[in-house]
Amino acid sequence: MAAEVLEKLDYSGPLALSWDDTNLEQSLSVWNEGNDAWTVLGGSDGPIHVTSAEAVDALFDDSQLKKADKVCHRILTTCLNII
Amino acid sequence: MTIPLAKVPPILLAAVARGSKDSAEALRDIHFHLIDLLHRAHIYPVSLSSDGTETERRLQRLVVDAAHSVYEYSIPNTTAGCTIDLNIPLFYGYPSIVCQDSKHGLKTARNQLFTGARILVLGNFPCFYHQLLEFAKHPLGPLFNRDVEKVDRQDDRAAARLFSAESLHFHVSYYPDQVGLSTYLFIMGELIDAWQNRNIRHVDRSRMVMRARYFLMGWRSHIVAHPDHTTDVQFISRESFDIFVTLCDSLISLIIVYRKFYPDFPLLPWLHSTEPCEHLFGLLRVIKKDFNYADVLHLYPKLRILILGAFGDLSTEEQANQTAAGYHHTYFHVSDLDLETLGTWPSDGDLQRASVSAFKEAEQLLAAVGINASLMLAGYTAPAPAQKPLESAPSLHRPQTLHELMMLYANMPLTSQVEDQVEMCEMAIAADDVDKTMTMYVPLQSNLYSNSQASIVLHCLTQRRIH
Repeated sequence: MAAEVLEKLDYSGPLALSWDDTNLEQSLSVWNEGNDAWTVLGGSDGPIHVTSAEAVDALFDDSQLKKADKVCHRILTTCLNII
Repeated sequence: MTIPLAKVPPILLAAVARGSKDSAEALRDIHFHLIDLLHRAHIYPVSLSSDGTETERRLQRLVVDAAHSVYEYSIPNTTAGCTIDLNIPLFYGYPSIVCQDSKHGLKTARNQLFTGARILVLGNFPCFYHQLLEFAKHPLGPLFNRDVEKVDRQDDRAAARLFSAESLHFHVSYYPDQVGLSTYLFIMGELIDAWQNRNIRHVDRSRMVMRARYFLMGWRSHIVAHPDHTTDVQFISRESFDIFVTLCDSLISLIIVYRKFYPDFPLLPWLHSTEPCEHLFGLLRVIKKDFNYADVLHLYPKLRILILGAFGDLSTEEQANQTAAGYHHTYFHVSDLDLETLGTWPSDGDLQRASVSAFKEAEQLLAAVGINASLMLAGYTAPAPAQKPLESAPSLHRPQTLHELMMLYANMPLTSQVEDQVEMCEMAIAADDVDKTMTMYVPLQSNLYSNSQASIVLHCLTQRRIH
């Protein structure tokens, strides 16, 4: 996506990458992708893909599953205010 | 015909959920995965900015260690300890400079004065909270009560007020006896101004950061050499020192890298910061005060539109600033931009002359507080990076100061003869300490150069800053 944006802008100059984190409400969310595919979001080890509703329930019951309490953003900035 | 195009908002690359106790090593994998993806798309960021937490700085060190090669650049200076050697990491032949956020740096500089665990000592002058309290309470002063009471340590505007030219001018005028604090305000204010100023020359930025570097090095050396001082109490924190030195080196590195790799693009140093991240967090919290990871992903399209709005219309700047209590976003502020100056590069000779000039100014400022800069800089050794604390058996504590030594005898019954001997030893140790201390300070004759002359030095530099 970044490459696409830069191509549209016809920008080939310097770029700045920055990152920082902020507090996150600790909770798990489920994303149903259809066809017996679920993604559990909010764990500190990244998204977990499962293929049955029972596996989703098992994950929610798993007291060992660490929930993320931070979200880290990585942002690319073109180093010109005006292009 | 010039066609003014819309401002370019930051591009959100990734939002990664993580635990607050994740180590730098755990974050390294995420970072290198992302960097790898960028490199595959032939995107080579020139700067890598983060805030100054221990984990983030350690991650930055890991990034530097992973560089494919290094571009070495040196700014020689004939004064011992003043040559600056820079090692700029290269990835696939492209430079990536690790930077610290300059506005975070300003808040860090401010917070050093608020801690109760330390009392900063600059040569003959201490800097402590009560001085700031008096300063803020002065009816003619530029500070607010809220800048010193129930302090918001993340308040960008309070930090900007404290280190502003107006505050410095007022402090020098009304508190001529607090030379240490005036000097600290000047040095740190200038360090951040070198990053944030929209229209000064890059050679001036170099001089400002080199001056701060020499000053901090000299100050640290003095604390280390002082028999009764320790860097844990009388100096800024180890983390802060590291952040400030990184701010100095990374700005010089950026200037050198732009000159060599991007000479046709002006360098806008304030854009090499984490401000876009904070802007994004602020916007997120406006939409939803407490959000979870799914909310972040869900709100991303909305965020993009809000950021576009902020960039498309400058009048929304103040609105943007309402999005976070203490943050003041200015990275898209361009009203006084001087692109011609920002695209003019200093030669090697210019940088060397700036280094000489920076040392002279640091020397004067250090002399104003009673520190001999040449002597201290010659003996300067950089602190080692933080190591994870090792679990070892507690070692026998040996007395480190005269006071601690005297405490050993406090409750001991002594005969009068032994008491005399102890007293003589104490006197000898005290005399030795005074001797050692005196050699570190600027000799008294030349340092009748005391408060009044120190004030003149600061006045001159302050006036230069205001104009």
